[in-house]
Amino acid sequence: MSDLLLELDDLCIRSTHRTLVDGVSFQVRAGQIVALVGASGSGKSVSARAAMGVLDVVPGLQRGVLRYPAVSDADLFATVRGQGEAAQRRLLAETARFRGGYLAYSPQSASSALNPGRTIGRQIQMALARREAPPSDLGGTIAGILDEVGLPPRAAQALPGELSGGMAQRAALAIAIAPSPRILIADEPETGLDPVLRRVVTELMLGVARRRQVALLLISHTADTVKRIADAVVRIGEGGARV
Amino acid sequence: MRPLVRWIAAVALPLAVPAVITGALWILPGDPAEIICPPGICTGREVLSARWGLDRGPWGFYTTWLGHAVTGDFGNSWRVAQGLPVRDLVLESLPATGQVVALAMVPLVLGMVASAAGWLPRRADGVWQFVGLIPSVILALGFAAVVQIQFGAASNEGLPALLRVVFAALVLGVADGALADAIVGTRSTFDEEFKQRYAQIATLRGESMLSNALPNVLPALVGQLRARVLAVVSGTVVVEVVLGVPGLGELLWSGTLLQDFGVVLAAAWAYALLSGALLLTQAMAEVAVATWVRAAPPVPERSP
Amino acid sequence: MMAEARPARGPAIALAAVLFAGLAVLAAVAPEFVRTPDLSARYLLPWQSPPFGTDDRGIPLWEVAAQGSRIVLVPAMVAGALTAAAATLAGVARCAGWSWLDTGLQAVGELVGSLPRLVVVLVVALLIPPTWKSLLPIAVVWAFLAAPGAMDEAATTAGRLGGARFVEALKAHGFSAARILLYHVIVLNLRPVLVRQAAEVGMQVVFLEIALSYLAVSRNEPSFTHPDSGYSWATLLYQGYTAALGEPLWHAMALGVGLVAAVATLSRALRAAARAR
Repeated sequence: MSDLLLELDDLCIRSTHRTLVDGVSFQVRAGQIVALVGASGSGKSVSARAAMGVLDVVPGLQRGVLRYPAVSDADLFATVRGQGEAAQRRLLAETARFRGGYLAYSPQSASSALNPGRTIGRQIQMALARREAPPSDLGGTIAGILDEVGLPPRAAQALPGELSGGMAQRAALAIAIAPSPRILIADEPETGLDPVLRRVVTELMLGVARRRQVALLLISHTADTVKRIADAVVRIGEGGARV
Repeated sequence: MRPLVRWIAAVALPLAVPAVITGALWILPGDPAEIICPPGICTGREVLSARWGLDRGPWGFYTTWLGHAVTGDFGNSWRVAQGLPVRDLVLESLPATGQVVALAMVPLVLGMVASAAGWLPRRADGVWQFVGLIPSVILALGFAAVVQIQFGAASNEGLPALLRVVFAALVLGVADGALADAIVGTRSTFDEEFKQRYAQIATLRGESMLSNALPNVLPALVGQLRARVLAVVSGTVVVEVVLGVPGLGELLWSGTLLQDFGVVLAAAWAYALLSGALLLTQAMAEVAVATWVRAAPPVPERSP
Repeated sequence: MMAEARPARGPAIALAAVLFAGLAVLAAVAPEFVRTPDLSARYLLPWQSPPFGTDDRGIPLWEVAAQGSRIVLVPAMVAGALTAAAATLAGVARCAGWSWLDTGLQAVGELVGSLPRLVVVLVVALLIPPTWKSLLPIAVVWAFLAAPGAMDEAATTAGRLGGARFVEALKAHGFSAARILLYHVIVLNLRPVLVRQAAEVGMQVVFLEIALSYLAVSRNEPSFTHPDSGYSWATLLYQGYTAALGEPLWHAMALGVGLVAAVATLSRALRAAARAR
């Protein structure tokens, strides 16, 4: 049995107007590719964010258990369930050390998700700082990461606005893998890309994850992709999740 | 592009201000020489006219005045301090204004920093905004009364003089919405930036929103700071007169009241130079920020 | 997250209307010339000489307040209107895609916005012929100097709508360009900016008049903003200053501060009344 890296059980989150997720459960093991699928607005991104300790709606978390077993058996939601905004802000601060290091996030529509005021190289450098031991050869490490995602070394000097959609997605992936995370959460990486680029980006992500032995939590509503690459599929619809 | 526009504006300002005044002199009804040297309160109009080129039309006046101004020659005062060189009056007034402006920036800069760092609760915004509703002339009046009551008529040296400067700075830093705008304006700038997608995603990467937002908000903050300094500089006229601080603003007011055109034009030009310096400073800051934004660690062309 | 509490528009509109009406009535009933001093009626308190008492010359303070209102009301409105007009032009230029005008306005705005306003006003005050002595030219100059900030905000607001693309998108729904610019852009979206800027500039003109007149009164010199026969609200504040030094004129100070507070409140009420729905 592979190492269990993330366990999320019976998640229930409410906003002031409606229930956003109810009964979502999934696990992520080392080297595994887990796909979260569902219609738009079904709560995929909310669930993924909750798995990272980010709860930014009120009244927020009502039920659920979150663990990172590779680190400890503590239930991170223990003091947050039903406690409101202040408890959720505390959770955000407590789990900050896991985000970017243990868990990494690759956003959808990367062009608008990258910091327009910092070069790609600088953003990778900031991500590398979250490693337990930052690299001794910074320039070489950045060049290597860019090469892994199919970007030339000169991309390090570029600002996000100077990249195409596909290049921005690659850059976002580079920033996400730079801290050598255990889990990579990819949020609809194919959004806004043409069919050819979608395949390229997905294969790239898959290749990087396998080479680095990073578990992949893929949020997607593209059935073909999910069917082709996922080891486990979590479907989120009304009434909770079914695997 | 913006820094270049500011550089051009900074150079144009000290040229434009006397140009506009020259234009106004010739557009307004009456003889420009009589506007500058009104009959009944000014003698020697012909000498003045010849010295400043008033008899050679607007271009003659403009080039003559500007030519003298760049060498520091603004002629003599004929009403504020009769016979004394205007240059000396301006130079003597600059330190007091400099002190007032520098001290006035302290609460404003502190307010901006505290607001950016989130140290000031939003609940307190009402307090800053209420205080900011007080016009500077009223607040200055209050402080002037305090000094007058405490120290009496002979209160232009030592501690009373220091208090006048401090109170003038306090008025400029707080009244007319100065501090409120600094605090609320800075926070609004950051709030808008924190709503941007990249800032929200920075949280998901375990990074701080503030460090991510900083390079993107700095140009706006620099612009806000320049506008605040400009407002403070502009406000020195009122507070220096009300509180009796012998600065450039007080000199300008005296010149205006007594229709001492040489003093007014020189003081206005000094203010234009200061405004140009502010524009240059903003341009340099923007270039510095752009350079910082462009910073990237050196990466070898071929990966190892 | 919870929305911030905002003042209700109805009460704000009512308050603005009441305050404006009060100032307008004061201006309308202002005497042409303040009556001659009556030293036997000096320092009377409001209940001794309603409604506001008298000053150190026996002159009823209501006449001073009324004359002050007449001095400031029209110039403040004109300045506010000019600023709003400039901001409207900038906002429309951004939406209409008139890039040459947009760029020109930005360049002029950069230069004008760099001038210390009060310095410019004093130079203008020096140049104005004595026969033109009035707050109006000063208010117009102030509006010109304040315009760049207003134009910048209006252009930014129009830019956030999407600029020319917003207009094109609405044209696809069958609306004419004129209707889109006049109603959708100006009335629906620029209105809060225009009213806020106009109210702010109007208030600043009133305070500017008080400041300039006070500086003149304190030096026993005639003011630039009104003929010698008139009195500004600054007179009340000057008398208030003398009250702090021992003269029994606190009621003059209270009236002066009250009028300033009324103007500030009017500006805030107008802004609250015009905010976006």
